[in-house]
Amino acid sequence: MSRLTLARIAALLLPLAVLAWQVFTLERGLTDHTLWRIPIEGFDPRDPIRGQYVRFSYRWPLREEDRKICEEGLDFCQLCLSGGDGNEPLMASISDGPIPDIVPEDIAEQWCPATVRARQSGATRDESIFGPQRFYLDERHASALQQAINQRGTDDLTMEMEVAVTRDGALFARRVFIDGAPYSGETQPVTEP
Amino acid sequence: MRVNLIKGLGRWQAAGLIDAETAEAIRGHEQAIHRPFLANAAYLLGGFAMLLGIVALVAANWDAIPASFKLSAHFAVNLAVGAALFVAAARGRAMASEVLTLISFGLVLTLIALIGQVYQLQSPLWAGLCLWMLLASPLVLLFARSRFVLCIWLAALTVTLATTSEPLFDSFERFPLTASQPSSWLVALYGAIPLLFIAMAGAGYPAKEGATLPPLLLAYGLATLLWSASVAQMGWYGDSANLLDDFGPMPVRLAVCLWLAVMAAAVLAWMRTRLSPEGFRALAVLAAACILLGSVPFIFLHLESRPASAALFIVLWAIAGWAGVTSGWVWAGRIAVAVIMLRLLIVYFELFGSLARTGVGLLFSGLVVIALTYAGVRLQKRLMGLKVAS
Repeated sequence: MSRLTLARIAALLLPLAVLAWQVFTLERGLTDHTLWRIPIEGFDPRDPIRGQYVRFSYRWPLREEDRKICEEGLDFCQLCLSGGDGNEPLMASISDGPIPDIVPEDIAEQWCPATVRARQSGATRDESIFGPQRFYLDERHASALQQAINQRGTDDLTMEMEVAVTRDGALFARRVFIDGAPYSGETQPVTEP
Repeated sequence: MRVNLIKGLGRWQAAGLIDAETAEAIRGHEQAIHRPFLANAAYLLGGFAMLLGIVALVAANWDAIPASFKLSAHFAVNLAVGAALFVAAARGRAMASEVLTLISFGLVLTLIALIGQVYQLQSPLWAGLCLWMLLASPLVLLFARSRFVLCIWLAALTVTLATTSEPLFDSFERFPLTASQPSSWLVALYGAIPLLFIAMAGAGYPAKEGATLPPLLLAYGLATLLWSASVAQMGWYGDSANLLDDFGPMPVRLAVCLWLAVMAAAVLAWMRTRLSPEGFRALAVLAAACILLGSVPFIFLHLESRPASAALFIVLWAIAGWAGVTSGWVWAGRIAVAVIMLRLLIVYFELFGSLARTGVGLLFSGLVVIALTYAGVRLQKRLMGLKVAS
């Protein structure tokens, strides 16, 4: 087999190998995760660009001074999430750092059920959990969601994003919740006050 | 068969330079090697349309289809198209190979987009494009032979490079060494990229018969160098106070221009033995003109002279036209003439001072150009006469 043939085979397999590895590492990270519902704001489905996505930002239940501290030290900041299970409201605070591995899992969960890195891997300086986010939607649902929001107005809706938080602090958006119910693509009927 | 060749054969036969038998033999040879342009263009456009269709399907993001199926299917399609490309190239099926290269190239991007969709990744556009170019460029460079596919690759590369300017600027602002003048560092980096392409082209020279990549890379490097120098002329249109803040004091700007001049000299030394004497001369003159004329407004930002900016722009493109024509790229000369005409028209509308002042300036410039051209042509004829006599 000539060198050109070997080089061509390598060139064809390179993208598949790298992207398959990326999928494998993402799936491996997601095998151990917890689900949280974070309130969101600035939901503007009239801004779909690549692959029909909507922009939003998380409304982290943080004190303003904690948020500033975190944004100044973005590379090192982690948030500790607790509550949000119906008994207690969702709470977030600046974490003291990663829980050592020697701490048993059940104690670790009481200490801090989930930690979220303020800067997610691969993000640029301005793209942290405090900045604008994207959520990719089925193209058929984006306009229906827009219609629902146009009819009822953003202020009337309680919007949340269900996120998966992995053990290493990565955050993955999963589903949109409107007024406590997962958004399924059907326009919500307008009810008179 | 090219129309100008047919006309040429008729003229040469009429002038008695070739006989009918030779003309017929040339026609027969050209027809035998002729590639059907329209059919090839249709194949490539069909492949491009299919690629856009796949992009649209991925972007539609139908959530009725499970994510695992979407990912598996896409990986399977990429593998199948890659295998088909390998077989087509091995069997020497040139057109099939080009179409499949184009589709394979695009499928890497759509797969990156699909992974981003499925896992709701927040990576910015430039990161996705850079990953695409890193993963897919080897297959384009190893399989593509047509200008069409290579031009699409170069266009994608240009867009990718353009999207990296903002994150690079942010990175320069963060690091202590580059934090004070990030804009100048950006100029130093982006200014070197065209020279890098010219150097890469040099690796393929002397070009083999039918090789498309080296001349294309050379043309791309020169075009981006010329474009950069042209844009630099706009430095005298901006607010110099703000620009001085962005680009820093003169020693910094001078250092950037010296860096680019040294890089250009190194690239020219690399190219010297690779091109013909006429080709090298044209390259050297054009590269030197771009670096020099692009540096002047950058170094002397405070001058803010719009007439000088217009004059330098026209001189730059006149040199570009000359370089193109002397290298056998007559179309480059035509483009240069069109650009200069457009710039002259803009000069008229810019109105330097008053109508009278602009009018006198244009009249004088036009007379000077005509006089210089006449003198140049007479001198050239005289030198050719002396050469023949000796």
